[in-house]
Amino acid sequence: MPDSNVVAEEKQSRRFFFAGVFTFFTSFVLILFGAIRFIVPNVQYGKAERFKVGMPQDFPDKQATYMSDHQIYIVRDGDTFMAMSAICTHLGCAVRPNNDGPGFFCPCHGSHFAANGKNVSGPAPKPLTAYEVSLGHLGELIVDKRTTVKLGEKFHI
Amino acid sequence: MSDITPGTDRRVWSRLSAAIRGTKAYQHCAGEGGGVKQVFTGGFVRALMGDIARSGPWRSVFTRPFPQTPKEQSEIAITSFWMHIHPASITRKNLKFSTSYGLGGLSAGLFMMLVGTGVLLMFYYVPATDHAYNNMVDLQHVVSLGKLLRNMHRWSANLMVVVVCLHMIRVFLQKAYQKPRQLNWVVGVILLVFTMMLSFTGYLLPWDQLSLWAITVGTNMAGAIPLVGEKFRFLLLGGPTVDQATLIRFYVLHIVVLPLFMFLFMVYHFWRVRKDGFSGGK
Repeated sequence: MPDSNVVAEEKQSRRFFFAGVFTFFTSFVLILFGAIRFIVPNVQYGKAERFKVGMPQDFPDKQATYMSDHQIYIVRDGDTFMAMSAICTHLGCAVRPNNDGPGFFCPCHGSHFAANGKNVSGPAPKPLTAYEVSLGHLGELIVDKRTTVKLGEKFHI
Repeated sequence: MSDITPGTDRRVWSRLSAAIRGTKAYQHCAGEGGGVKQVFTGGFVRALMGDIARSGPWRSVFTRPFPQTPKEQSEIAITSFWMHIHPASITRKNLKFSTSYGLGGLSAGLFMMLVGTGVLLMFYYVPATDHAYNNMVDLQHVVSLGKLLRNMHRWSANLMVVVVCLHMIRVFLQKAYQKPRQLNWVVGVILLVFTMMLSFTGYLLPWDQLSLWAITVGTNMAGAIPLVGEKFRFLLLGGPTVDQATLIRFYVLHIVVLPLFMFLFMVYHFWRVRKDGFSGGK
């Protein structure tokens, strides 16, 4: 028998074939979705969305004070306060106060914003985001980034 | 852009539409009583599959017809890169599970599993002394499927050491290290050493008390090498004691250097299995 050592083509049942295909694709899909679910983070170790920024009297009047930790400007005008996001609404750079007079400009693509955050020139499509300001128990200012307020809305102490 | 003339758009479009009209799937829809509803009638899928099988990209992948005879099947195993991991011919005896117990393939499978789970774990793990332990605890308790993946990595790693040793014992007991396979035995021993080193470097990464003292003890053993021992230990640790410098060293070794060399030696190991051939089964 010269052919006894050669493996002939094994008979494979249709059921076995489909079981194999099913197992392969099911595992593939499960592993893929498992891996995607795994890399979706469940907790964040970033900064708080609601935070104290300091006592009202410590902010210089008629000026925008930059809080670099939270990338916001606290704009004081007498007894009124605004918390303005420093993130340009064009592509997310941090805006700076104008060198001459009130308002902000973005160093990346040259958008200009008025002192109240209104976009006045350049590619920025929207005004700077303004956040809700409130007072804490000890009289300190609290900014809540989860709540936005209308353009030019000021917080009176 | 200079070759774009006003007529280019139209020429491209007419060529495209001619190509579409040439497909069997289009002709199926355009036939007697044709229309979009023909898509849902019998024969459309078959016509479309035929079009795909005749297309250039498809034929660039499947350059030759499906092998029908044993001779053609052997030829594929020799000439195709993707099929060359299969032997051109093999005896029935060598196909029996009890010939090899599949231990080599199992080791390779565990290695692939370790690469897969290891890459996913890297999405969370930071090799810094003030983060590493917390990252590991997060993986156990906060990250979805983190406990499963971390323990898959851990169990596979432990199992791999066991399976590699069993593979070695099997080869030894079958005298499969003898001529002409001496070189592949040596490559196998190198792979065993890499397996051990991967286990050792991975041991430090959770950065708990067990890791710390295990690596302290392990590197002190390296320090017992005559003459160069102390210098070697200093080089391994990146300092006098197990610290941040050690963690990043072991991390880089564990995720890049050792797996890369391991992979290259594995490829060579597998190629030599084919090159050395299978025993006759007489």
